[in-house]
Amino acid sequence: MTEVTFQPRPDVAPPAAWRFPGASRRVLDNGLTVVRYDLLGRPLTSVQLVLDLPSNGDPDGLDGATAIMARTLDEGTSAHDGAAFAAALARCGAAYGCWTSHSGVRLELSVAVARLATALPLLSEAVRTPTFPQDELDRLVKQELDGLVSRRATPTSRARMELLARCFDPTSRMSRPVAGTEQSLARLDRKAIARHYADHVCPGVATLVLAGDFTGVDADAAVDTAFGPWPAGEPERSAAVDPVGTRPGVTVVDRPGSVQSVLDFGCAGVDRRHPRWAELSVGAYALGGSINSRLSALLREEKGYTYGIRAQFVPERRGGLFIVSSAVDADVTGPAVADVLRVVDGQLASGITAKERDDAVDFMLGVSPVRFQTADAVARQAAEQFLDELPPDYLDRRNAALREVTAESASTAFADAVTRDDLGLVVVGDAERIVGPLAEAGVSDVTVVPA
Amino acid sequence: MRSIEQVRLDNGLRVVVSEDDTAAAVAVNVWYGVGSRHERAERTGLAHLFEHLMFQGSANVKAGEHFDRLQAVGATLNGTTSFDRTNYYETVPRGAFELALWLEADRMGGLLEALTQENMDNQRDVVKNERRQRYENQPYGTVHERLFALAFPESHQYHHLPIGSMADLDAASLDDAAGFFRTHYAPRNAVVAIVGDVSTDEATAAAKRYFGGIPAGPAAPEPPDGTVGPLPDQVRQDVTEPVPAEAVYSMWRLPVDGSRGADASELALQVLAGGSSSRLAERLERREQLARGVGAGLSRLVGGTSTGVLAVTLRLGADLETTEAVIDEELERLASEGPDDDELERARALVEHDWLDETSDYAGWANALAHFGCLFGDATLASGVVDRLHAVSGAEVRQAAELLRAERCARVVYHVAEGAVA
Repeated sequence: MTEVTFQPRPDVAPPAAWRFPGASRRVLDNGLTVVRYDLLGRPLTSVQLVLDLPSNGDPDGLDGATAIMARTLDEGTSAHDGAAFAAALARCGAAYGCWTSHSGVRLELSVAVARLATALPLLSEAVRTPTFPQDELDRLVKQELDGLVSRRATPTSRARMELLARCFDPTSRMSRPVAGTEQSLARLDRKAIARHYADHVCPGVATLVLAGDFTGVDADAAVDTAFGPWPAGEPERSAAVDPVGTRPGVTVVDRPGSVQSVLDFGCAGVDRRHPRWAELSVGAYALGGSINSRLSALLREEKGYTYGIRAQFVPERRGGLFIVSSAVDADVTGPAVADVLRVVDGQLASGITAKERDDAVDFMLGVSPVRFQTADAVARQAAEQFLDELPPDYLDRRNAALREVTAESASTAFADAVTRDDLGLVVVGDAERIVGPLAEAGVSDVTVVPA
Repeated sequence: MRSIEQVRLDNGLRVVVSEDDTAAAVAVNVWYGVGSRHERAERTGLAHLFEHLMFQGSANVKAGEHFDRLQAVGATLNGTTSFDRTNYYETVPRGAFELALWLEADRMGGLLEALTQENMDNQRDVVKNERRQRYENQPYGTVHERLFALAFPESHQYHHLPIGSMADLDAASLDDAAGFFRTHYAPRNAVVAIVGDVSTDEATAAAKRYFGGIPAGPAAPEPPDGTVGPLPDQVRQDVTEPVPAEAVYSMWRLPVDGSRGADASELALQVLAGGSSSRLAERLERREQLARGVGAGLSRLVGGTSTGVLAVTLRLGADLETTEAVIDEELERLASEGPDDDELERARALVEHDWLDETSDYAGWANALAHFGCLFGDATLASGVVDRLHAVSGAEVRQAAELLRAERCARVVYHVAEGAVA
C-alpha cells in the first residue's frame, strides 16, 4: 500500500442539550451561604470562598487595602504562623490561591476529596482568625511594589495598565490597579488592614462554593465543623460602583529597542448584565475571537504581522473594557494599526454576515461541555457569577439569548457599543521608530510617555 | 482507575482509548515522535514551523478550515512542539468526534497536497513574531535559550530550543518542510489518544476507518544518542539587560524521563522550591526577604537527559551575592542531608495534586496517555505515575539532589541595565 485512501468527511451529530450543573444551596446560622455542586467522577474537589468586597470599597487613598488584606489571611492565624500554615496545606496536598479583582476576593482550595475534611478547617482558620503579622504584611506590600515594577517592564501588562488609566476617569477605582499604586501601598499599615478586615469580613459577605464527587464523604458536616464557629457579624457593605468612562486617545509608551509593538486598542465597555451581552459577544467573536476572525485572518493568516490578535469585551462586575490586543513586528506598526482600524470600520459600517453569526453562536454554545469538565471549572464559574451578581443559571440564560441573536442584532449592538471616536490606542514600543509610521497610518495626537 | 485500551493498526499507528462519560465531550491527542531534537543544525525551528503548516490545510481540507470547522462545533484545539515530540489536540463535543479524527487523518496522510510556498512564507512570519513576542520582547524572555545553549554543547540535540533561530527560520525551504513530513509524519511514528464519552469499540473502529488507509511509510531515523551525565563544572553567564529585577536561573542535566532518578529529581526540586513551604521559598521569600519569587521544575526528556530549572527573582535592593550564596548553601544542604520525613510527605502530596490537576480533564488525560504511548510504547504507564512517585525514598531524593549541586549547573544571572531593550 503506497497510496493514501481517504474517507468521506463525516457528519457532525447535533450537540446534546447542555445545562450548567445544578447546585444545592443552604445558609448556615451565622449567615454563610453554602453552594454545593455534586459532580460524579472528579478526583479533585474545588472549594471557593467568595468575599463580596469590590475594590471600590478600599478606604479613600488606600487603594489595595482589600487585596493586600486578602493576601495576608494565610500569612498568620491564631493557630499557625505563615510558614506553618503553608506546610499544613502542603501536607494535605492542597493548592491554595487568593484571587483579587475589582469585583471582589476569591479564596481557592483544590484538594483530593479524601483530604477535604483536613483542608477545610485551614481555609476557615485563614478567613476567621488572621493575625496580620507586621513582618508578613511588610513583605507582601514590598512584593507588590516590586510587582508593579515588574508589570511596568512587561509590555502586555504595561499596555493594559495604561489603557485602564486612559479609559476610565481618575475618580473610578477601575482606572487604578486592584492591589494599589506606589503611593497608596506606601500608606497601608497594619492598623488600616486590620480595621478593614474587622469592618468588612464576616459570613454575611461570604459564599462558599464546593464542587466535586463527595461520594463517601460527609461534605456538609465538614463544612459545618469548619465554618460553623465563624461568628456572624454586621459588615459594612460596599456596593459595587459603575465606573465612569473617558475618551482614551492615543498613547505611546516608549520602550526603546522593542522588536515588537504591543497594541491595545480599547474603550470603556459593558458587563455581562447588559441586555445585549449575547449580541456583543457575537460581534466581538466575528471581529477577533478566533484564528479565522476578520482581524486574525488579515493580520496573522494573510500578512504575518503577528503571532495573534484578539478582540473581546472584558467584563467586570460593573462595566468593563472593549479591547483589540496584539503584538506586531515593530517594522509594520503603522500598517498593522491602519489595518486594524480599517477592519473595525468595516464591521461597524457593514455589520457581520450570517456565517459569522452562526460560527460564533455555534462555538459559544458547543464549547460548554468542553469547558466545564472539571470541578474546578464549575466552581470558579459559579464563584465568579456570585461576585459579579449574576444568577446561578447565568450560562443557561446566556445560551438561550445566544440562540436568538441574528447577524443584524449582533451588528447593531456592536456598532452601538463601539464607536470609533471613543476607541483609543496604547502602543508599547520604540517611540522613535513608530511615531512617524503611526502618523502615516492616520493616527495623530499621540502622547508619548516613558515606560 | 481509568480504563486504558491500546490497539496497533496494520500501518503501525498506535491507538489508545480511555472511556469516560463525565462530560459529553471527547478529547483527541495525536503525538508524533518528532521534535526539535530531530532537526539538523542549520534548520533549527523546523519542527515547530512545520507544526504551524499542519493547520494550513491538507488533501481534503482548505487552508484555515481545520480551525474553522472545529471551532464552529465548540472545540478547543491547538498544537505544541517540544524537544522530543510534536502534538496536535482538540476536545470536541461528542457529536464531532469523528470529524476530529477525520481532520487528523487527512493531515497525517495528505499534508503535502496542500503545502504551498505562500503558506510557508506566511507561517514563517507568524513564527518569527511568535519568537519576538514570547522570547525577544519579554524581560528574561531568552533565559531558557541561554540555559540550554550553556548546558549542552553545540553538537547536542538539546543545545537549541524548539523555537529555533531567526536565520534558520529564514533559510527553511518548502523542500525542507516536505522532507520533514515524509521522514517523520507517518502512522508508525504516531500515537492517537482518544478520551471521553465514546466506547472503546466505537473509538477503535473509527480510528481504523479514518487512519487505516494511510501507508505505514519508512521508519524514521533515530536521532544521535544524547546521553550525557551532569555538567563537570558550573558554566555561568552574566547578562545585563533592562529587566525589572536581578534574577538567578540555574539549570541541571538530570536523569531521563521514565527512570526512577527522574522521579527522585522531581521530588528533590519540589522540596527545594515547589510551593511556599519549600526550602528556598521559606528562606529567600519569607525569612530573609531576598527574593520575590522562587520556582523550580523538571522538564522530562528522553534524549539521553532531562533538565531541571531553578528560577529565583530577587527583591529590589536585595544583594545578589548574598542571594546566590543562600541558593548554593541550600543546594548543598539538600545534597548532603536529604529531605526530612515531613518535607518528603509534603513534596509527594503536592506532586500528586499537580498530577491529578494536570490530568483532570479529558485533554490532560489524553495528553498523558499519548506521552507514555509515544515515548515509552505503553500508555498504561500513565496509571502508575503517582505510585512511582510515592515509591521514591528520602535516600533516593538525597541522591538525586547530589546532581543538583551548584557546581553541576549552568547558571544565567541577570543584572539590571538602564535604557535600551536591545
